[in-house]
Amino acid sequence: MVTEITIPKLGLTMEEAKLVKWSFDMGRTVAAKQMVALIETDKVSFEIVSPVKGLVYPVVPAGTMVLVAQIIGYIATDEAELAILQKEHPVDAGVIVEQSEDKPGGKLDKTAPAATDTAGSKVGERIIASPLARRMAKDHDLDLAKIPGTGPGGRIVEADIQKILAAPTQAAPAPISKAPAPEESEFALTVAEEIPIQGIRKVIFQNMHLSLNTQAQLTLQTEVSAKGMQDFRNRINNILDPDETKISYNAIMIKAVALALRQHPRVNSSVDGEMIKVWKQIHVGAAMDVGKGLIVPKIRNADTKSIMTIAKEMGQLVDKAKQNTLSLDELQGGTFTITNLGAWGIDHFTPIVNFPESAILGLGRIVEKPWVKNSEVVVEPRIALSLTFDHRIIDGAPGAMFLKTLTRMIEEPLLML
Amino acid sequence: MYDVIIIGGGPGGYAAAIRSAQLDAGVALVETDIIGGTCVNRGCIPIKVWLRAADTLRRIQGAGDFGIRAKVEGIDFQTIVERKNGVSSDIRMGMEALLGNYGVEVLKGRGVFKSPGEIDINGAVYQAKKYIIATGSRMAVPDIPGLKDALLTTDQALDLQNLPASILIYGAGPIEVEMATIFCRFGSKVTLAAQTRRLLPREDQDSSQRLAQALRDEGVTLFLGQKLESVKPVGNEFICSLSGSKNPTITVEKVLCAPRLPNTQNLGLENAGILLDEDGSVRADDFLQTSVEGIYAIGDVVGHTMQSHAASAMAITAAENAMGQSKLFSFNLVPRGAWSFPEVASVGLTEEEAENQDLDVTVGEFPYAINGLAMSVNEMKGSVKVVFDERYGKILGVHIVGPNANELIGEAVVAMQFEYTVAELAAGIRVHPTFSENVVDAARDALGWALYLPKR
Repeated sequence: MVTEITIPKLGLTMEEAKLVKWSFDMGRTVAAKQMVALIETDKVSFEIVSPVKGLVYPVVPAGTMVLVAQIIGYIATDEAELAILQKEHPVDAGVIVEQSEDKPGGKLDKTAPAATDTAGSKVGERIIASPLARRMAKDHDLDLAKIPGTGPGGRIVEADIQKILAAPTQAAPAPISKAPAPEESEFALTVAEEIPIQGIRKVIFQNMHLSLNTQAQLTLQTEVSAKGMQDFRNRINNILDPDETKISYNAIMIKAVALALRQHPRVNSSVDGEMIKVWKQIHVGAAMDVGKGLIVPKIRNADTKSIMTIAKEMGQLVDKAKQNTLSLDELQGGTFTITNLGAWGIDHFTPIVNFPESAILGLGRIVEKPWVKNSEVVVEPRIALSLTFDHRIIDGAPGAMFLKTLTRMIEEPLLML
Repeated sequence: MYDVIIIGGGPGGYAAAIRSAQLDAGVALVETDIIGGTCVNRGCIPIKVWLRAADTLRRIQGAGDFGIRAKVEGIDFQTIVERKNGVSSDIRMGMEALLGNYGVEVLKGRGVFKSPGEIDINGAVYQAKKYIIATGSRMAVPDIPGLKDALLTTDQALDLQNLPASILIYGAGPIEVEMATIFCRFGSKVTLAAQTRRLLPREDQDSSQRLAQALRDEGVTLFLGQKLESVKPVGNEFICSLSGSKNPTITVEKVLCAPRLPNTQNLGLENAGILLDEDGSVRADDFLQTSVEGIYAIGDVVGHTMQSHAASAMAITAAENAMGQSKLFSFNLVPRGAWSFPEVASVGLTEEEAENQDLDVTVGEFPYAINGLAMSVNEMKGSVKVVFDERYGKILGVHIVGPNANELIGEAVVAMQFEYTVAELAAGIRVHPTFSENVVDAARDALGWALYLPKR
């Protein structure tokens, strides 16, 4: 019996993935539980394993964007089945088993009907389009795979191509390129590099805009003494065994934020339609850049966990992020985010809320400063805090009160007990 | 309350009724007269019977070319009329039976809108969720002094037992061309005059010219670009004065005149708020909805191509839309046809229309004269012309003059419907020898590689 290889849904919001590579050429034998293909979403990489032993028959070439539940290939039990597959699912000029990773234009248009909609214009790899539509697409260098068809049975017709050509932002040549030779002017801009907005960049691009476009964001900034936190961290780290994970400022911050959120539940909420949903759980994410763009792994139920546990989990998440093995569920479903720019010498800034959460805390560097205390100038380590929140649902005073609770715990970590 | 009430039981209303019923509508069809409309009772079908008689005569007269020596002893027009009536009534009975079969209620009388939601039929008020206006068109004889006395309508012509010795046919549309073809073949001296400068003015110029030549060959005298000014009786005949460059007068026994106007009067359209276009037809959008939501209009009453197949095609779209779908009607895919000897048929843009749209127009053409079947059967008049846009090879229009043109145009309709480029058409295979090879050859000529034409 032929086994289908389909794209798994790795998380609630996952719709598509990039088929990075096939591990086997057509007709090669794969063992059961052996990796047969590698896919990558905007957040994670995932190895698809073959459920059975058999002969691999890739249908979708590596480098293509694929939809959840789409069939990308088959496993045949024997040569006879393979021959039938070749007849039923002919693959043009053989599927390319591996392709360069970042081929521009690999992004699939989400408005295109999913391959699982049998009425859609994409049945496997065969794109149903009228000869005229094909000719026009070729002429304008349009990828038919990205064009939703409106003809009978989802067929791509002339009108669909006309629509794309008429849309100014689409692939139609921008009028500027036809303007009388702008490159001849010494003031004209020339392109040094064109970076396609896609993959993780596209997700960040959309999320940032969505966040600022949706919420009324207000940032409150303050500065607190980091002395108590420093002492607390040193004391604990000094008594830890060498093989135990040392606690980080981030771990302390996550715990402090989680406890402050428990006292100010409104800050731990999201807007859903006409409702403000205040979450029972407190899942604090820590924004980090491990070289592939911004990701925000979460510490779930951070308010119930010890700082030691939080530190340990953070360490594991960072390791996974570096190895690109984070699961989608470790990345989504947070209720609050912390972002730290201290390492780059930043004090105050205006973080953007990680939508659909409603608040984010920005941490600055810890720096020694002269500070007036009891009418005397003393040298004290200080840390800047920048709290951005959605002013539609959190008023200024409650926001400030949350920050106040937080600063007290940072200055006196014993309050966390 | 009905789901759909259809006003008019011609080919449009009939098709709309059945399609609506197929979609589970409760349907009523309102008809003042008999089912079948102009097409079945006074138009397409009766004329085809007459044309078949004329064509049979034509073939007998040309039989000598094939060694068949035959003599026509006489023409029994009564048999033609009876056959015509028989065919019409057979079709009409079939339609009535099918309407009953689909549970369509036929309401006899004139349907008049009282409001957008109510219709009056013989004093009784009916309501429907949706309405489809399919009232067709009527004769509109122009107001020309003296014309009334000389007038022969097509209705009368189709029932003639004796044909006039001479006749002036005034107009250059498909009906006039077909009537000229029939009268001429049965021995009437036919003069065809029209205000337009060419026959079938809606068609490609080449088609008009080919048809004009063919009619002249048949013996029809043409006066184009001439207006009929007056008709005066002289004994049993009439002197018809034409104005125009040639300024002739013609003496004939009868004058046939058949212009048609959309049937929009006495329907209470104003009570429903339904707007008309400048040409007097009911305004309908691409969904065939009138200016009033839920009221659709199809067929001759909306103008465009006033032919039966346009009405029945619109009927499907209107019925589906009335039943909740949203289908666009492809006006550009409605073919046009005229049954002369040879036939004329077309779909899409003429070369001139395409030029006026600023398209990069190229044409391909292939004459019947070098088609194997045409030569074998001695039917060599005509040509297939493909008009296409050079840029993408999009087929803009196809124009056929020649035997079976009205069948052949179906090839072009399919090609355009599925958006073939001229290259797909050129790559086709047809049985040899057939007239359909001409379509493929014209497409090849369009691409510059017609195999059976001299090197370009």
